[in-house]
Amino acid sequence: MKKRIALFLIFALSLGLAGASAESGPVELDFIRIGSDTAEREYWQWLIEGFEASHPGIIINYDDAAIGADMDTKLNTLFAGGAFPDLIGHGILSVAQRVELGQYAPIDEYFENWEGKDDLLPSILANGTYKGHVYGLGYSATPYVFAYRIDLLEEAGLSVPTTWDELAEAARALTVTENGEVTFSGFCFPMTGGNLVELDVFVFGNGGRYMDDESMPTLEGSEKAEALEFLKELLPSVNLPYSNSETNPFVKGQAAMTLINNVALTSMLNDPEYEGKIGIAVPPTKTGEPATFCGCNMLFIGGTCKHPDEAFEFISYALTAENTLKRAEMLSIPVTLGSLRNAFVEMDPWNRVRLDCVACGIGMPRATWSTAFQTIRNNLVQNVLFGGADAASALAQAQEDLLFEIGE
Amino acid sequence: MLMPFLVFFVLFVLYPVVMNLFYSFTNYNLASAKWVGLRNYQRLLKDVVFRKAFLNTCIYALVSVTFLTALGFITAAVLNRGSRSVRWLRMLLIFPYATSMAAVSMIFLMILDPTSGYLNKVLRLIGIPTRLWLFDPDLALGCLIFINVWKNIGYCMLIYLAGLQAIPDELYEAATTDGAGEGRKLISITLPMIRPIMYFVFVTTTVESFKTFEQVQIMTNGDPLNATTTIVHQIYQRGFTEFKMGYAAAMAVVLLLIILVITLLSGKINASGKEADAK
Repeated sequence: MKKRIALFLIFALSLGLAGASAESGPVELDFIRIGSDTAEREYWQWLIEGFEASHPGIIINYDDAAIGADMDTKLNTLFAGGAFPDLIGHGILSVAQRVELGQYAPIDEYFENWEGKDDLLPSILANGTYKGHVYGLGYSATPYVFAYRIDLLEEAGLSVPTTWDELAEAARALTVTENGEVTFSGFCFPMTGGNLVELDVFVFGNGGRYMDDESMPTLEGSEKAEALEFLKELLPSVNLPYSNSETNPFVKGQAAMTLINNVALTSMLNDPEYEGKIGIAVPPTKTGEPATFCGCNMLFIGGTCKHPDEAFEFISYALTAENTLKRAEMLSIPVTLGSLRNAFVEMDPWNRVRLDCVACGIGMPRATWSTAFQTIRNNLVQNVLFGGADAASALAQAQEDLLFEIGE
Repeated sequence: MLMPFLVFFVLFVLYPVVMNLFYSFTNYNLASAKWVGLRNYQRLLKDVVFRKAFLNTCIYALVSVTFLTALGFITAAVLNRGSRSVRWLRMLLIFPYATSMAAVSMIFLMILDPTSGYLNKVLRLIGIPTRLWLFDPDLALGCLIFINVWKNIGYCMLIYLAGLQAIPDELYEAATTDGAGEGRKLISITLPMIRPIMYFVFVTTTVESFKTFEQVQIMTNGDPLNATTTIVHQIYQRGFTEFKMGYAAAMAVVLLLIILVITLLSGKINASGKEADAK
């Protein structure tokens, strides 16, 4: 009997010791980021190396997933499997839905004590705030810019379009056709894709919005109908069909002007063949008031994270002025800290345009229906621009469809 | 002896099916589930996109299965010889089947791209008007069906070939002695003898066609204008991107029922054919 008790005690002691040693070991945090581009992956790996070197007790297990359904599928599968990451780098679209599901933890207390809190641009902070609580802190603003070929506009004696009329005139002048088929696009606009925010640029540029003060969708309205009618009339004679999940024809040298995510232009800007030939501007609008779409990627702490202190330590490290500036330098991503605006502009003259696009940028609706909105808006674009539907009735149908989804 | 199979079956087949059925009566969203009765099924009837997906899936399956069953048989009949060149040809036909659908989809994306795709380049070269292919609502589903048939024809040929080679030569010799022509031999010997093979090809290609997903997800994501969305694509969209797991589960139940009915019906037709042959 004594022998058994002794054995039991030894067993219990060894278990306790094992537990204690496990507790005192390094803290491992799983981190998954939206976007699978090599340039940004290299940046994050560089950042993580620096963080682990300065924080010996913390290990970051890095992973990423392509923008769109891939990221959400990965996160949802991890959540369903009880392995939701500790740190998530995701966009505006995710905020309301994942907060409501308890997948993102509120970080109000950490934020209040964070020394960089007053430096974060208010529009960036708003993106990660939901129902009065802070959940995510922006590390990357991703505005849609109006990209154009300087050389082609100069050859044609045209100035950079700032209004819809000027855009239509330039697009028609720069389009090349052979046997009635467009072979070089004056202005290219996607036919399909994961998230057709290119329409939003025109809607915002006409003073339209998709959500009212009570967080209800507002897909109908003359601003949206006018934007759709303008594109419906222009595109057939100037556009090349493409999906915005694939490479934009502008980047392949097949178009003179386009709307494009600022980061997606990086490869073209670094290509010696296009040196001095690519310009960016705030997209042309109808009203003259500058407006564009601007996404924002933020760092969140997972709702099931067991080490929130360490997780926030990583977030604050990623958002230091030094690391934010490095990110801007490596990826041409506009800075999210007010104090770095001048330093960012000094890096590259085009950075002023990027900052202007962030300043007038509007993001996806922060609502639980944002994913359904994305699908319905994509269908709307296809219905009107490529299916020939009447804009006003298509908008009314889209509003009805979205309300049906919300009713669910 | 049956125990390992039973354990596997219960854990990985029966349990998920029962749980799926249960979730189809809830509003499960990955975080919580509340019983909603038949609401998901009622909603399915009103869902325009699901109706479109259902129609697309039926067209995809019907056309694919018709072509695969017929062309697979014709190809097998033509290549049912032993020469070296025929053996090479058979091997060539098997290659697409051995390639993953993801790789095939990527290759066809390059071929069918309206601007820089090889198909339109060839059409321009010979002066034929180009098309938008995957961006054209009238052509996109047809393109997907063509790719599916091209990829899987080798599989059907292989199965038919095994069936054709199992028919005893004596039957054909006796028929020749009786003065039967090639057409009579086909109707009276070949087709009845390979009926079980046809049934197998029909069932497997039908099930596979109803389950189609990779191709849609990679090549079109259901676009343009939902012209290529399918039931499984909708299950994925609703469940994994819109968090409507309960609703997606209801779609999965409908898909299960469709496949079950088709399999039972074709089994019944096959059995009645056997009885007719026996008489």
